Amino acid sequence: MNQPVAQMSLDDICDQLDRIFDTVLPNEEIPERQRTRANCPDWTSLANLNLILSIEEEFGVTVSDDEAADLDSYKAALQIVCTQANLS
Amino acid sequence: MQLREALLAAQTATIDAQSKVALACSFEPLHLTTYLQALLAQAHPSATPEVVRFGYDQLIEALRVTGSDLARVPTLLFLTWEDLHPALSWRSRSALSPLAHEQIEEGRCALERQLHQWLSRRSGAESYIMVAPMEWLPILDATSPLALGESTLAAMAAMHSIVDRVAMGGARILRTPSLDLNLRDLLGSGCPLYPADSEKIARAFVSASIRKVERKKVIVTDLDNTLWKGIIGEVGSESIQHLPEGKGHAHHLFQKFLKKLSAEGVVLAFCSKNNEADVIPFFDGLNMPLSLANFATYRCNWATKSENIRSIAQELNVGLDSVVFIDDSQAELAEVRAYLPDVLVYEVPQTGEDWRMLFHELQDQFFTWHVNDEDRLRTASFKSESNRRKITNALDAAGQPVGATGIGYLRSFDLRFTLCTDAFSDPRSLDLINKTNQFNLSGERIEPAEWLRIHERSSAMCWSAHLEDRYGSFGTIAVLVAEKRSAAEVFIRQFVLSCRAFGRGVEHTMLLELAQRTGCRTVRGVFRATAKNEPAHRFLTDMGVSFLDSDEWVLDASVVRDKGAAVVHDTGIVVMEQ
Repeated sequence: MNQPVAQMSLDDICDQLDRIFDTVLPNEEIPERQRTRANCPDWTSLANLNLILSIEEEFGVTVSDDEAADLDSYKAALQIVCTQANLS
Repeated sequence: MQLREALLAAQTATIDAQSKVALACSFEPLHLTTYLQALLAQAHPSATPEVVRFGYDQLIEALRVTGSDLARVPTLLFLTWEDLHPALSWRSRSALSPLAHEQIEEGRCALERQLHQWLSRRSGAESYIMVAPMEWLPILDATSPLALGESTLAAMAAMHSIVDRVAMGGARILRTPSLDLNLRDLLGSGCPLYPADSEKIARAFVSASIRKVERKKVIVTDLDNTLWKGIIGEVGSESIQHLPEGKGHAHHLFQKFLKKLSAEGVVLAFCSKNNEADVIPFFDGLNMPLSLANFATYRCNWATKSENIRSIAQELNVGLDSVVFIDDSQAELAEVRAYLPDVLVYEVPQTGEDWRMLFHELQDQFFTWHVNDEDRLRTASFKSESNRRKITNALDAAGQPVGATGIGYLRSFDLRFTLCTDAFSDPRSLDLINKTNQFNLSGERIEPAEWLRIHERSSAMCWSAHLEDRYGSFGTIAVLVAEKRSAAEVFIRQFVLSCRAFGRGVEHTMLLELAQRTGCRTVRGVFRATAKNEPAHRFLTDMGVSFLDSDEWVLDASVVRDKGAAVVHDTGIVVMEQ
């Protein structure tokens, strides 16, 4: 696990999240921060699980079932991490 | 390894579509597949085997495919409780209520039958089984979660029985540290594993399937304070301890373990600094698990251990790197390490836990995927060989005719050579190729997938030879893999001969049959020198082959016919076809 999420700045969190999206949902046409379930055809249930597990592993957070169900965009992922880091 | 790293490694792997491993289970092996692909990429960076996965509701299909098209592919089968009965799953739609023992028993019988058929279709190919831990069972019984209910007990007994059967059928049970149930992902995505556990399983599978340790062949054990507790020369045979109680208990267990290995084809010998008269006359009267008949040979004298071990290896015609030596004396072990660095040595353990570790170590060193009749008879075969040598020496002393080939004295052995010209599907063929060091033309080890590819070539031939004489059977002792490249030329890719059959004309007879049956004018083949295959080089040199600049050699088939005919004439070897 990397630096504790509570000690990370918003920029650090976004950079880390970019790397996760880049690996789990590679897409050369759509920038990482604009990716959504609707515009990424590769956003399958497997990719969704890999996103959740990578976020949990790399930020040291636990994604609840409700949050997992709502994870449908980069913004939603950022929201999950920021909530746990007490950033808004 | 983080999941993202694993995803990256899996995505960027250089997949070799010809080489595969299979993963079979009835849940979605999502990140297990990812980790497996990633670790295979680490282990085989230039040509990574492709992971073929079977997930939810695909167990039957997985068994069908890995028992037919992918029958030679290393396969990991992960059994979960729902494979016994659908109600033994947290995702089951049925009520959380106890299951009747008969329901589980029915599932056990069906699964056991399927796995038995699966293993027999895989003919000894690498098959690994893992079983979900008990903690993954849903709570069905009206008991405390701390106590085991009837459904749980019945399921455990059924799974235990299945594991037992598949292990006897040749599968290897893969052990990993405890696995937690990831209920969130099981319910959400159908995968009950945490990523960290997926990584552990993948690592265990990859390291087991790529482990290329040569199987050892012989255990040489000391006697005093090793095979039994006490020093027989000092306290006498009546006072040494070897019974399953008291101080001799671990030594009793050690003997039983050696006996088990012996039944699996491991050759036993002992080597002890003692007067032979203090040991041998009493050995069988001690009523221990092992008797003298279980040992192919022994040395009971005051020579150094290294001298005795070297002489045992010579007598058994095995390389020193095939020998494991066990002794209680650190000084003896150090002496053997210093003079015979190829011999693997173990010190007699001092604690129960260390004994257990030693048994696991030895089991690993002598592991074989399947035990055949030849393995079971190996000790007897070495004893027959010892008898043959005595006869040979006596014949030599009597000045028996040796003929033009120098091996005419073998005529009195009544040699019978049985040729099999369709030996690709016999698992012993690949076994012999992959375990033979000395008479091995190319030194090449062939993977099951590669073996299958060779088999598929229409011009490829795989011949094996079985040898018997008046003293017993040698079993399958030679395998030759060749290809008819044209009407005039045969190309030998691999030719191996067991060390047990050296000097009996088998190699000449095999080539003679090849030349005669194919009608070729030229025999060409591969030779690559290794640290151990000097006997193969010597044979080729004696045959008069021309070594080319590449790894190849060439020989006129008329030479093969002339030399082969002379050997057959002198030895009286009878050639039959299976």
